[in-house]
Amino acid sequence: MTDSPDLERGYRRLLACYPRAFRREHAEEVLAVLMASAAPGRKRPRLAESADVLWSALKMRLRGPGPASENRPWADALALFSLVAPLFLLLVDILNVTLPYRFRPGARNPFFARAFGSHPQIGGFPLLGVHIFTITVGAEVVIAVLVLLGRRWPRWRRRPGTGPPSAGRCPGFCTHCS
Amino acid sequence: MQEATFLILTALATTSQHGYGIITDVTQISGGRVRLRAGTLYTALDRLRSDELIAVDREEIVDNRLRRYYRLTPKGSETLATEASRLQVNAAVALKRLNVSRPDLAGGAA
Repeated sequence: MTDSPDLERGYRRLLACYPRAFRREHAEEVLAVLMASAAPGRKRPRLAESADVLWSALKMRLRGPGPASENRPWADALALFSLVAPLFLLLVDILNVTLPYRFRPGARNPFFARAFGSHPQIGGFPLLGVHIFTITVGAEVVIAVLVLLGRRWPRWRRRPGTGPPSAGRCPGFCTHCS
Repeated sequence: MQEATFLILTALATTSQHGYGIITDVTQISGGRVRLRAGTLYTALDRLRSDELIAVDREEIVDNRLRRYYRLTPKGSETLATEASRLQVNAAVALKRLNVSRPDLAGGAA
């Protein structure tokens, strides 16, 4: 148990990743648990704990309407994919930009060379006349935009007895729930 | 049912508990083997609430912090009982067979 304001600020930043409806209902409660679990004198969230909160937030964001048990595997798969895919694309870009040519993913492997455009002669596999590198960057932008838009998609399912008194139970995609 | 879920329901079987109480209880029930983190706990609690296996019992403010207590619903008790019997049957079979082949591993009692 600790009461460090720095730690609390760190946890609040993490909790901001949860969907708004969940945050409104549970943020203070989860914060209490995080603060209670923290070792005395701790100033910043532990890495494993941060990762756990982020993973949990991602799963909740991707969970659609309806009873949780019905779409659980898909929500988890989607959560994993949406975490890994942009990281992979970003990693390839970073490698292609930062490494000397012979260490790049495509240096020894013609498939990678074509796919990621790191071969000086080939310069990328033209798919519909566009280089894969361009497509990769484009895909990252699209994913980033989707994630940002996702913040406004009301994916949170209301439960009876919570939130505005007039709202008994809203459909999954109603606008005033998030 | 995942073990964490089973242990959370077990923690709520006798009395309602708040988040941190559930974490410490689950650690105790599992003999220190399962240590839930806050994110994992609340993902599970959220699912269990959606599935109507648990419900909010009450809220308290302790040291300026919100504590929300959860309790098992009748459906939750039923689900836990079914799962516990299933595990018990499986465990009994395992111990019985071990008792035939390896009495030293089965602990003698089964």
